[in-house]
Amino acid sequence: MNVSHIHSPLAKWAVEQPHKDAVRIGGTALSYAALHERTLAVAHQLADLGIGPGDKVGIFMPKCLELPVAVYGILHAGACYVPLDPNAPAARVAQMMTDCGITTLLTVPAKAVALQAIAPKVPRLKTVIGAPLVSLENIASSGFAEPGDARSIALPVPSDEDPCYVLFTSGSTGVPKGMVHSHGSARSYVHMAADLYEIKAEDRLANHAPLHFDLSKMDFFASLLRGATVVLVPDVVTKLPAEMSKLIQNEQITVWYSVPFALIQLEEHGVLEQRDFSQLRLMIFAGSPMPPGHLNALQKRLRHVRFSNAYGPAEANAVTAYHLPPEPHLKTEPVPIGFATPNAQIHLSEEGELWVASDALMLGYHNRDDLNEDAFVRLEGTRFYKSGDIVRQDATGCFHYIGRRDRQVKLRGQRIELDEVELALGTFTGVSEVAVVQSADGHALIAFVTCAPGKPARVEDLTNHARRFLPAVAVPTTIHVVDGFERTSTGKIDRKQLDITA
Amino acid sequence: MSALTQDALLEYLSSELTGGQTVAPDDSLLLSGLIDSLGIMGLVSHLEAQTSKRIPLEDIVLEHFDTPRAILTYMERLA
Repeated sequence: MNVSHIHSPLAKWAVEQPHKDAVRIGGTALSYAALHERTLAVAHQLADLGIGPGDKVGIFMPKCLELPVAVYGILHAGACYVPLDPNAPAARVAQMMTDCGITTLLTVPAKAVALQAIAPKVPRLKTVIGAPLVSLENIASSGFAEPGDARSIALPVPSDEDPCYVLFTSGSTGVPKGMVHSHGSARSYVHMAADLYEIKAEDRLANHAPLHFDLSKMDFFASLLRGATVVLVPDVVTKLPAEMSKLIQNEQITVWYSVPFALIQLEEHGVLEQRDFSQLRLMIFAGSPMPPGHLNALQKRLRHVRFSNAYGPAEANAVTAYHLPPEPHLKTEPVPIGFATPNAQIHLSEEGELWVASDALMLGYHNRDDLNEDAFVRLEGTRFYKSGDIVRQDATGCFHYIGRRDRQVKLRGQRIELDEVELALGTFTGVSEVAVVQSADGHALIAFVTCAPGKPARVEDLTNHARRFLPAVAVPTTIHVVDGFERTSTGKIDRKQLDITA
Repeated sequence: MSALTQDALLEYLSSELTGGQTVAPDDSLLLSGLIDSLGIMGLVSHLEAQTSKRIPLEDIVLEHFDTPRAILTYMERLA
């Protein structure tokens, strides 16, 4: 048997540590043995439907114990899993399923009502597993196969080039695009991450990110590789900082990986002074820039915890990493993205765009040769992914994030990085998060700012602060102090929801 | 200080937080995903303004805020 795929270690741990918790959620758990048994049952159920390497199978469920069974079941069938945002509008989910040609979907009864609206819009959908009561025309439905149903017929082993998972991201036109990663690229990332963060069998990793967000791969597969335990953070807990900090304490989490927003919530509303985080050793953040003031405050609160900034578009998995020194980070200094990970080779284009070559690159966008044409470039025979991110490298070789290439706007003839303006405002004491957009008429910048509780910022002071760091043309004409931001399903600020009337 | 009535709370929830969907006393607000993280913070501010009581951060947990009935019970107990 090929033991090198990201799902392969499950069989080994089921023998070597059968009773250890593999996955936990809400006080319930699946041991390695139980997870393995249930996984094989589902894998055979899928194989009986004719599913194997190259086939894409949808997963449509919130965080629950069925989630890892679905993921590992699909992979053990040799197929490719497609996590769908369980809270996305029906039309969008249907669009993603249709794009991937999904015939089979794994779900749970709680999503049955939502599925009634989605399924008729997906012409090729034939089978729904996990919601046995769902009644849909021309679609068979059943429960998950139970252990014991499994037979000894060998399941197919996918090749390194076969697709392993598809993650959807919003395209700039609003049409979601699917990033297809291979079993080989997934393995490259997972092994690198497990080494980089020194994941051990004793670790208890929190899974904060939803499955359709690429951060989840580290939580699931680095923990599986090392025989550790992954604790799923229920969707609702991610919305309640005091509940989230209670989970870290009660579940004795050792490694936390999330978007900066979750760390901000913990720092501001997580009542950390009442919590025991003595088991926590590492907090990793990725997905958007971490406001330095919050990082400083967290580091002071959690002296024994190491912090690390991870950078890498989902198309390329990890690209750089920055382990913060033990001393608290300066409040006004943006956090570097750090140094190339061992599997990544970085090239900077003339305008400072980061291009990356690595074994962890995606195969490409699904069915989008037009995008693939522009996304990759060959340099001396090696395939590089063009990240769209503008960075700079300092004398020590450390990379610093400047902003998105496509978030560069022109104002009065001058090029301005909106991300750079956000970083500058984000260094003002008390500021939590910032979003800067160009006004609808194109003549001004508008900033939206949230503040830490009890630290209201005055617009005048924010403007003066921006003037200290930015050229005059880049100082926002209007600054709104707001209570909070609309979020995308992955927890990032939804900039499309902001009012851009000048 | 004014007392918080069930009717007033249900009215506030459906008009301000659920986009018009009516809410029953035992409906799940959070586990169901009916209101989001911004919504819960808005709700806390509203409750504080209505009752002149301060809700400590450590109390903003599932058991106190998942249903309208739980919210009313919690707010009554809160000094």
